[in-house]
Amino acid sequence: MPSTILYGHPVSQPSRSCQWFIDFTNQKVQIVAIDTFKAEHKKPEFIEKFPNGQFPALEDGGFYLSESMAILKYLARNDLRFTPKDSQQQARLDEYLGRHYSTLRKISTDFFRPFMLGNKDMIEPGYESIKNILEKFDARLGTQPYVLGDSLTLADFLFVPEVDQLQVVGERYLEPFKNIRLYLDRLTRDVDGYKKCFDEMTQAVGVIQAAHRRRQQQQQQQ
Amino acid sequence: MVMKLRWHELSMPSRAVAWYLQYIGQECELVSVKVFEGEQKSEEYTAKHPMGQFPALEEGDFYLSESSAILQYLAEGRPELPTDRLERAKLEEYITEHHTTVRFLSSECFAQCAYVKENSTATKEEREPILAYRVPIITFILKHYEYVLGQQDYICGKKLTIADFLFCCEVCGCRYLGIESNCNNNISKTHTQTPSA
Repeated sequence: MPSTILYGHPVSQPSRSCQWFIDFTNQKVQIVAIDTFKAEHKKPEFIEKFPNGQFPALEDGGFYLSESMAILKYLARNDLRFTPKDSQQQARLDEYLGRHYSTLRKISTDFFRPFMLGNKDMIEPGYESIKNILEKFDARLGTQPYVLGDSLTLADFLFVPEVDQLQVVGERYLEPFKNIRLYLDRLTRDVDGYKKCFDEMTQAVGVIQAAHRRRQQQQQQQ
Repeated sequence: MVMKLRWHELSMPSRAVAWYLQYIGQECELVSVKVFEGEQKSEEYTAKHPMGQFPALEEGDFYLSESSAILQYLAEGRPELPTDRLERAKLEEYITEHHTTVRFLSSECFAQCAYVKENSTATKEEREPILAYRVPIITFILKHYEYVLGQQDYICGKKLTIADFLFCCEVCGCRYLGIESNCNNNISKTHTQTPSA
């Protein structure tokens, strides 16, 4: 068994970023799925290694690391394809990271999560709150093939698992953003590991939604 | 090449960058963004900084926003940006935590201020529930970092890094609102250790 372990979940967008990157770069990393229904990430043995109790989380020998961008950068350190050529290119990636967590993450927190948990009333307001940032990135992807320019970078690995959720909620939510649609189609076709990443997510979403429906039915019967 | 920073003194990320520039002795023109007049949404501004945010660095034709990106760019080759793989990874880990959690400190504190300012005629009973939910979250965050700073001298371990500049500025926001929990002795110690802004 590899000594490097990634703890994650197939629906967690940051986990998907890391797992997809591991598949794409063919690294020997064991993937361990966190059982969120049993709150495994809040148990003492997990907290001892990862005090903030979050995933994805990477264990490499005795080194413990959380936060998806930190994990991606750590895994990509020796890969020349993902090494920025100069400090300005590095700065662009860091700039994207700041933007990602302050704006793009709302796609998951304010739009996709309500859908998964069956909170229908929150989906449309959530969509309204993310339209602006989607328009900006849709415009950008009309002029360049990847989020930061002409080549695939770690930014794409973070960006994709957020935006590909739009179509899972409903095709009409992605429909206005034609460049993002074309970008996702291109990555499905050309980038190793992405289709598997997407399919695993849709399967896991189905399982979670079914579990929530059962729980709601049980509560109504009581 | 002449450097310019578009900033605002009430923006904690702006203050972190301005402070770091002063600390490293980097010459840079500080230009206040006229936030309340909406300068950050103007064509001139968004032509260089499409997301309309600040702080934003301008160096010749190179334009960069996001405080953590600017700090990393400025700290290239300096001790505040570790080169050791594991130390760097821990800094990256903090930077993301900063964006997802620690930033709540100043953004929520200022939301409180704005609410109080806009609802100055509201009674204490009317204001309390609105403000009440923020204080426990802020206290929770401070407690966590109080614990971290009890184990090590700086946010990322034994050495001063750009993380400390980011963190300290967020904590300042809490002090402004008088949220001094009785558990932030370690945070105060670090704040004193980090060179004053």
